[in-house]
Amino acid sequence: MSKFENKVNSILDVFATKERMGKREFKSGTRNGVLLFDPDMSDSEAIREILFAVEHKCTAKDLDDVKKSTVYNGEITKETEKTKIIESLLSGDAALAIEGSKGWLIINVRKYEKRSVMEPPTEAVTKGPREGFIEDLKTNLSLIERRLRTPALAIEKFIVGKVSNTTVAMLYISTIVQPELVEKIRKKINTINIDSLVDSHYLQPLLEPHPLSLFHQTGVTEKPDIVVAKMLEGRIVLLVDGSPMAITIPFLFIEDFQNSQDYYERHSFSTFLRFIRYISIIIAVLLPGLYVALQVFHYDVIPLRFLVTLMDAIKGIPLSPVPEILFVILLFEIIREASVRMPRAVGMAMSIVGGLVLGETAVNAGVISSPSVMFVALSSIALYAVPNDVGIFSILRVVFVFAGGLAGLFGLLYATMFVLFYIVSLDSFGTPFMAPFAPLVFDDLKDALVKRPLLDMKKRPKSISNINETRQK
Amino acid sequence: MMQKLINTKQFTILVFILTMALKLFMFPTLILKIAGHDGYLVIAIALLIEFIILLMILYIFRLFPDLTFYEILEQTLGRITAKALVAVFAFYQIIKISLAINEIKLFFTISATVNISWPISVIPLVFLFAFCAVKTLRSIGRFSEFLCPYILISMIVLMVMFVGNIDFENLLPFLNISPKKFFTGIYHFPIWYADFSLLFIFMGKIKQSKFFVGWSLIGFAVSSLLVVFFSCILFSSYTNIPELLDFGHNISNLSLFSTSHTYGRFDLLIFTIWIITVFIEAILLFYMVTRNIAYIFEKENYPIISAIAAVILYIVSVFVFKSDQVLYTFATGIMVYFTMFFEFILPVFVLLSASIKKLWEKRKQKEEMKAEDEA
Repeated sequence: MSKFENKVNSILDVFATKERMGKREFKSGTRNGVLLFDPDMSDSEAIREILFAVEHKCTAKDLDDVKKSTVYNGEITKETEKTKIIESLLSGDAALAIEGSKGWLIINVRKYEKRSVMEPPTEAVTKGPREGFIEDLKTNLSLIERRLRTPALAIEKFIVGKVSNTTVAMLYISTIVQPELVEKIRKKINTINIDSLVDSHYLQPLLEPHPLSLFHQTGVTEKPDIVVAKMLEGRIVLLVDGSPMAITIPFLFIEDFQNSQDYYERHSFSTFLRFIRYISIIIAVLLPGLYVALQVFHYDVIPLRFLVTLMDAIKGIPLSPVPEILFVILLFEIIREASVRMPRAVGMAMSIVGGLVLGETAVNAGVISSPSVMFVALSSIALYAVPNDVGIFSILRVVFVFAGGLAGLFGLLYATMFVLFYIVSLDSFGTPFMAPFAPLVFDDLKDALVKRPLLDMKKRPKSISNINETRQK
Repeated sequence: MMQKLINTKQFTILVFILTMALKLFMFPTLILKIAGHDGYLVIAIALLIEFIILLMILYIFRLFPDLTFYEILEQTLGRITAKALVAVFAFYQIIKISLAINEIKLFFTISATVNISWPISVIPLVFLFAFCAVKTLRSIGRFSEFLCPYILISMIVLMVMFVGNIDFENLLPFLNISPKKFFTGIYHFPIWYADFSLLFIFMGKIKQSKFFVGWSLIGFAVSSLLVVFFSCILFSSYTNIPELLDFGHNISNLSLFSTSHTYGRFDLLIFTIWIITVFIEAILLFYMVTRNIAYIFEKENYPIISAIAAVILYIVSVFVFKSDQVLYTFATGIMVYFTMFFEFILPVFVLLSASIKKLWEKRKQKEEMKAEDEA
């Protein structure tokens, strides 16, 4: 076997099945050459063009000549390291070698099926950009780069996953972001030792300082306009190839209460919506627990007329308040989970059956009372005012029902204090999780408690450390 | 240099909270029983004493912004004596937490009429304190900062509810009690009104702004006014509602007369927010207990220390102080001397030793400079 054949086989032998890689031999002048590529992930047209060029036009003596004068491709590099050549082949690039010339030419011929850019279902808006990320990293990068035409936009790429070899892109604006934060994340990514990174959600617990926490300490979004806005506040963005979700770091709890539409509406209406979201979450988490606490321990808190109505409604109900509310919550959670997984054709019908018929029948049958259904329904609707935290608040809601049912206002107060203390003690990469409320950063309240007009946002948020605080003059 | 864990804003809020915490519930009732409707004056004098103590502590903080409480004790008393003092201090604080737990118990079992087994309910409470003690002072600072607006708003709402319905003329005539009763009120209950020795835990850990002292005093003043106001409400109602002698520790019950049953007892929900201040004081006390233990044994394994302290606290508050009566007898008996020592004498002692140390340092510096000049 010739030296050249050995060189080619050393690459092909790595693959479990040799058929996995396409191999085309050619003659370039008097020399033998070979082109390796992944037929499933590469553009056959581009392959044909390369082969045509090297077989018919090539007078090149070595690979450098081929790179300079034969193959006209924007992304072409020379590589000698075997692992990198294999990584490139697995990513859909082609590898070209010529007998007597050292190394391989890596040519970008990637082409694979991807869905088109569309409005993300998780973050629908009535105003503002409707584009959302897709599963293709290159497309996602282009969506950001199109919005940030500055040389200060830094893009660093990492390969994560021993088996999946997934590309992770770290993006930041070098003139804004705190360099220590970049270094911290870079180090953290480099220390990840995992088989595969199926989605960006896999990356979250690997990066977060408290991975077991109920609260996520990194942000997730599907919208490029949100990503760009966050980068302009000094955050770092991570994109994972194969995932439409971008991760933003550091993350503040308040971010889940902000919506991209807040920035496209009149500020007064956005402020109103912010308050609605805060009230909604208080209702969502506390209402069922408070209802149980008042019913079991503190009925004197309930106004007399309402108390009479309530007593009338709960008369004859076999369950005591705590199991009753828990039963209604369980009913709701089952309906919710089933309607998400159900085929769309029957989903709507089943939701009506579940929500209206089942609820109505249960009340009429005297299994549950109508106030319980009403309070749980109100709480459940309110949960969706902050869709990113539905999971967290659903769990807390159950905890608060137990707390209120077991010890009334004492239990509720205790649970509230415990949860609050836990949240305020969290940090996300050196940024206090509950900023700008705890610690109080007064200047940042203009985009937290309320939403001030854009003209007032002259400085970047102080809660997130950055090296350039001026946003506009 | 010691890492600064809380800022001036957070410290001000903590002063505000500590000033109010144990003075709004049982304290006015106890004073009421001794001084009658002039009790609010006793409270005002107690607050004046607190003010002087706070001034001293703030002065110490200004004098030594980077020195911790343990360092200053060690430098003036020596390691062994300092450790012995800190051990007694920890004991005193455990008793004080038991008192705070008792306030919480009374509020929820009598005011909020929660019929729960208290020995069982203390378990989660103690667990909360232990959990908080594992975290940093920074977390406690942030926690207080987050809750302060709610406490303030709830107090203001309660004030508004009361103002139109209370006949403050019942406080007249002024000074209708003997000076002896005044003295008795001040002498017997320092454990309820003297709360600032706790602030020593912040020594060397505050990022002091230019107006650090001013802001702290404003926090104290606002809180003091609220305390006096609510005491006035209680004492002026006393004349009209003699039953308050039995249910006097329940200021919230008063609002029942102001709002009537039409709207329900929603005031109770508002008043519940006040009890957060007692929670925060207990959390801080427990935090200091764990740090005291850590200092004595020179160990920094806070989860273990917190767990041990939690068990001790549980035993003390449930088994040692089996009833309110036992606790109050102890708190108004021998504990008076402990309180006076730690709340009044200790700040004076720290202030004196800190001042002497400062003078000595200055003198040494001058001598060194002189020696350098001569050289």
